[in-house]
Amino acid sequence: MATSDVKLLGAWPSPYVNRVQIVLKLKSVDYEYMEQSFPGKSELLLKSNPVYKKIPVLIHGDKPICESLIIVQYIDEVWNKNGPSLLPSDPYDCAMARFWAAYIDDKWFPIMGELRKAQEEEAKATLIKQAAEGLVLLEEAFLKCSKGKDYFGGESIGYLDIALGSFLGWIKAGEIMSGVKLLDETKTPGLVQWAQRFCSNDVVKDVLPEPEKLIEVLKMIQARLKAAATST
Amino acid sequence: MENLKFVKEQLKGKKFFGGGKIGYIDVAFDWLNLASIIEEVAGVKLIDEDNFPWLKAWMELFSDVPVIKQSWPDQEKLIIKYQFVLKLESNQTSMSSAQEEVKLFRNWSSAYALRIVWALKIKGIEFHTIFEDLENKSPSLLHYNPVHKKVPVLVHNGKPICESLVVLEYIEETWKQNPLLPEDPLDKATARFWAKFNDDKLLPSIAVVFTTQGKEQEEVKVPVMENLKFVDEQLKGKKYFGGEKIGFLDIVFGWLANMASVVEEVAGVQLIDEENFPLLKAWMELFSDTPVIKESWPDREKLIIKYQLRREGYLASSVAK
Repeated sequence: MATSDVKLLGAWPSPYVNRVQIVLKLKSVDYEYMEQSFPGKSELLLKSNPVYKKIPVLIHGDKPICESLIIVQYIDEVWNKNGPSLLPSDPYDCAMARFWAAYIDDKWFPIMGELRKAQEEEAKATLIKQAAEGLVLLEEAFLKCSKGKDYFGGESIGYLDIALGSFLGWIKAGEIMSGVKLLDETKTPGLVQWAQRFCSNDVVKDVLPEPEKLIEVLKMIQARLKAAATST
Repeated sequence: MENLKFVKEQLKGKKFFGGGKIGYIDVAFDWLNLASIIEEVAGVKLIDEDNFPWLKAWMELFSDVPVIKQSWPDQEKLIIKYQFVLKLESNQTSMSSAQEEVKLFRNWSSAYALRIVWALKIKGIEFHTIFEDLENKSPSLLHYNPVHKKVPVLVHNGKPICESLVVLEYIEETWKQNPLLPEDPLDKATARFWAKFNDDKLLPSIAVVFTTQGKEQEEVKVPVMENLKFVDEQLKGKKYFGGEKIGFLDIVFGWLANMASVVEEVAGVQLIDEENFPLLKAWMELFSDTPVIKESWPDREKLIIKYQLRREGYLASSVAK
């Protein structure tokens, strides 16, 4: 398969883009990476994702596929001969992986977004409590899904590892900025060990950005928002 | 009946199968005197005078022979025995279908739960419905869905699966007949994309129109029209979103086919009209007319009342702000 056959429109700080990068690496797929500048949107991006105008977008041949977890499943299905399947073969285990990935995207990670925006201490404390409670649920999910093995996917990295693992850089950045530990060995020991394993995995370690770099990005975004607010 | 016909032929012109007296074949066929026991216990007529007159006559003659009569087991005891055997057999049958126990927790109106009803019916899967009062959730629902505490929940052989899109994929992977998702990975990704679009963008945008009025409603109607345009385009050259027959995406968009008009009536707004969305309008009629879909629609009058109350609540609270 020619490299130019597979393109990934992305941005390095995006955890959603990181998901796709991890999977492409896991499946040994050659591709052309096209970094999208922020905040402008390229013509190719607007043409490939007219609905959301967001990254990541995978372009295979000339067909775009959007939404990170849908792209992950697509890659898993097309390059199914390149390594183990990312989703469990048992339909119930597969449903659990999908359920928790949806929980992470729809319920848990949005709390982190609210936390970044929160101004008052009381609001921040409530959100931190909610985030911690969510992680306890994910700890239980980890114990059930991993069945004593290293990853949610068992012996090797799977769909749910990628769904949650892609946020680890941002979680660490949040911990540094707020001074509050979210992934706590006393409350979620399984997840803490899993996180270390995931981040040091060969496939992952060159993809996930350093938390310090993400903090710089965050500060830049916050400065831009402030400037935009004061100028209007 | 055919087999008994063969047997009766053997009695033509004879008193017994053996001729003038009981022979080898009479003894072999002696169990036929159990016929009346089988008829009584199983509630079926097998050997009657009209169809098998020779056989009936032989049965009476044979039973009356002293050496046979004195060896018969007690008739009452035989009836009790075979009634018990029949009960055991029917329990085995119902147990093997219970091994495939499928329960669906839903309420009367949830569009998300309807998706599961449709998917199960299209695949011909028998299931048991538990209706929930969402104001007063059952301990079972809270046990099976502790994270979201919502319907629908599918419980398959005691294991719960929650979140309608996750449930649909589970149903598709568990029961392979009448596939709902396309086989091709790109088509599958496209179906999943538009399903997510419905849940994340289309439905919420229509909900916003529902909770507003006047100038504000006019403004929030604009993104709905854009979203509906995307959906309408997906039907180009197709009868259903799934192609020639109902598929995953039809099931996900299905709520539009009955709820859109409820929203329009209650909120006093025109959303899906023939002029702007001809393909979508045609699909809505086709989809609604499908028996397995039609028979599951919640009562429209009840829906109107429910959503009228809801809208009044939203408008009152926005005025209070």
